[in-house]
Amino acid sequence: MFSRFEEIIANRHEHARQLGREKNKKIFGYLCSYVPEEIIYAAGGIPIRILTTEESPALSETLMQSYYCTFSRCLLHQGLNGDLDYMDGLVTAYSCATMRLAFDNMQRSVKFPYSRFLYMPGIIDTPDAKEFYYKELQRFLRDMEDFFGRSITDDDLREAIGVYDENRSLIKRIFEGRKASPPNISGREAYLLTLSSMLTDKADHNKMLRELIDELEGRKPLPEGASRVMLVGSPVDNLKLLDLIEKDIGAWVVGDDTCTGTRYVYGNVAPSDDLEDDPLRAIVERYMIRRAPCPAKHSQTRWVQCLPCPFRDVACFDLVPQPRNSLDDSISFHSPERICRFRNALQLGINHHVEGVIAVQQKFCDSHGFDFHHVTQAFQHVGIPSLFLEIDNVISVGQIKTRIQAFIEMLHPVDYMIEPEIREGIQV
Amino acid sequence: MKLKKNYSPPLKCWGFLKEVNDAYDKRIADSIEAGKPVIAATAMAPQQLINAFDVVYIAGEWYGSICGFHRDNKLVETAESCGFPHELCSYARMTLGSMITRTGFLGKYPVPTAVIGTEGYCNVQAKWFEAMARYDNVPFFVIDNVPVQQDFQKNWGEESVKDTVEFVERQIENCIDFLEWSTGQKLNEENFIETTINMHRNEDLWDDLLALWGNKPSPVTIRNLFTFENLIISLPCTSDASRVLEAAIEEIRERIEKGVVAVENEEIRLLWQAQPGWYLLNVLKFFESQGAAFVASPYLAIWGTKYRYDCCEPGTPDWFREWKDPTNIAECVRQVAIGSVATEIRPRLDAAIRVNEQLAIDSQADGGVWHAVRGCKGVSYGGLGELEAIRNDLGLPGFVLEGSPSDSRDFSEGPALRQIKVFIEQVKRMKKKRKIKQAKAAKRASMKSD
Repeated sequence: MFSRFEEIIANRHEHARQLGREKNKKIFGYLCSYVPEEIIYAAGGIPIRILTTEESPALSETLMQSYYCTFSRCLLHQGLNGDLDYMDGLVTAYSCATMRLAFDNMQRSVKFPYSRFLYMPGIIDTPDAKEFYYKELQRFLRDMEDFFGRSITDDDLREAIGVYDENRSLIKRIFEGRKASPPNISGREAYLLTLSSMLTDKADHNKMLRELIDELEGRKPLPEGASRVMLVGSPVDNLKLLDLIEKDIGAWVVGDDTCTGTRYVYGNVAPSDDLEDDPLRAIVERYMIRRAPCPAKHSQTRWVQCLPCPFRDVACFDLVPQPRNSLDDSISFHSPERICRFRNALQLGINHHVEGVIAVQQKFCDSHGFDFHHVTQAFQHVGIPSLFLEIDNVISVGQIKTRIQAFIEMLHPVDYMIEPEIREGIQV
Repeated sequence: MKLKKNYSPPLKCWGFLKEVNDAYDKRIADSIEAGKPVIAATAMAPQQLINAFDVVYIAGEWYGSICGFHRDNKLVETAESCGFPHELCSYARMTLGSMITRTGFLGKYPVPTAVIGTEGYCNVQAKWFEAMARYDNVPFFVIDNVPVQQDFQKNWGEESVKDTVEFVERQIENCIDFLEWSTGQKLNEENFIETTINMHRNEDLWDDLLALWGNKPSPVTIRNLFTFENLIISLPCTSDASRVLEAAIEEIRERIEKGVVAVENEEIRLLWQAQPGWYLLNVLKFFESQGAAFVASPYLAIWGTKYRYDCCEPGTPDWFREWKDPTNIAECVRQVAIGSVATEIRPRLDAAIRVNEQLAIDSQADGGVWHAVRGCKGVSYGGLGELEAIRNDLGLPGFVLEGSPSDSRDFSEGPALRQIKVFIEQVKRMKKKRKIKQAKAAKRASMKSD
């Protein structure tokens, strides 16, 4: 059922090469989930996310110190190794200094026919930040037009948005099955969907997803009785971690807050008031406000950080005067939990009946590293225990198995310690 | 380690510097009793604005560095035991350890009234301060300093720079509202004008100081410069800092006139990149004992204005480099925004390489040392690429010294000293070869002209 998704991941470069050849389309590599793929797709390209492999990132060592995360160094290594030589372009959006360095080095050393660093602001909730990113994307759009030698109309953008929104919606629909007890799909299968989605033409992927939905209808539920855990943190793209938790230890990964999983698919562009008049603005809105934020993104208009959390933030923020350049009321319309990453992760955990959280950090990742103390506190506050786990591109099964096993053995169904009125407010 | 004393005595104005630094320390230490609002912020935050309020300002980088100097490793261990990984910036772990234990080299560590972080140069400067704000549950504000775009394929320089500066301006306006709200004070226009002008003046003085440092032979050691750094990190908006810098400049000029040198028998001149390990200043003495003088540093240069603007992307508009004393809040906001954006040289590899090469040429460097500071992704940014570029483009050797700014557990002195010795020998050999080559070329040229 999932083998075709697995094949794409296993043979990602060959698959992308073939896509380019067969469809006569340009392949664009990208490094971060904040890249607005819809624009590249509208121009006629196929965006492909560059993910890690288990190969040692040896070639990156002359350009990036060992204390930059292996994730970023693996991407650079593939570039220097010639694995990406079929790509017509490389694009990234600012997420952190580490990924920017990987990009800068690739731009200097690999020489793609086209490369572009998009400054996606670190601030995501002011009209000025949105306006800044809008202008940045306008320039990118013009650039794409020049590179592809054709104009990109609003209809092209709307069409691309439609394909991407459909992909996100289909995956979300399948992910609903993760809430069930026992879940309908495993964590590994969930990651197969998101990862393969990043590595192929979204229109083809949509077709595959529609077929999968039909097939899943007749599927027997997964075995009962296993603990339910959630992954929170850095990108996870090595399925061995999922195998370890689910196959070897016997727990289900029923949810995640990672940019290679749920964070990639939550939040559509539509419905949007801007979609009709200015689809580019609608894209900006999705990437800045509607998707679940990464820890490298910040609010500038919500001044109080409340911890331990359980959703106190909304009440606290209401007490704070808004600065002159804050967003208007539309911010609350677009569900504040998207802005507060902790609240977002907590809600996801509660909705998916999570019993424990595994906080994964790509070793040397600052953005997640600084958060874990507070993430674990926030989960602890509602009664969900957590385990901190450092990973890199190679999963040392032997080393981490005992730790995860010991953690999972102590888990049991949680009666979440949250106020009834907050519980009622949780959107399932 | 017993070293041959091969360096000049301390500057006479050092006492004055100590007086100013002590007064700053005391102000922080007394802030709890004085009941003054305390703003904990990164040194990359708009200090002109913070200092325009009647507040006590704690620069996190300065605080972390002094903890490192005192080798207060219990603080980093406390932060780690609370779940902050060892690989995070050691300044941050020192500060977080102080927050958790409420202790440090100043005695009690105050609960800040508000915290300010920045994005752009390095994520740590946002995440570290966010973690502090979360820990004490106090108001937190982030400014995105937006490194100017380096993609000029479409000649978007001016358009991009204009958008960037305007975006930062709006954020500084938000920050004014934030500070007024969190401190309960109203921004005083006169103060803001004064701090903005003071900061610009001190940045120029800092450039003057660095220019004198680069004299051949160099009149001051890099250790001297590092001790002066707090003036431009924590106190750049004060007139006290101006007075100390002026005194230092005068004294160094005198030294040059009198022929006083920093390192006896200055055999080789080196570039130093990154902050030092504040616990390992002794290692710098080792360089000096071998006749190696540090004479330039991109890391120190970034606090001035010269290299910041000289190394702008080609096509950057003139107005970006121009300075005019501000006369009102709006003009201050604009100058602060331009300054913030211009400082963002490092997270752009091409710009960082340009700064390094220019400095190496200007200071007649024979090689460079890159301090690979674990956990500091901003200052380390592109260090290896810079080293390679300087080797390929200028033919100068480079050396990577692994360490940490504050966590002495990350540095092994013995192996490092052995490697340094080998590197210094290599630089000396290469310099000799270059000289022979140059002499031969000169001889050939004179024979041709004859």
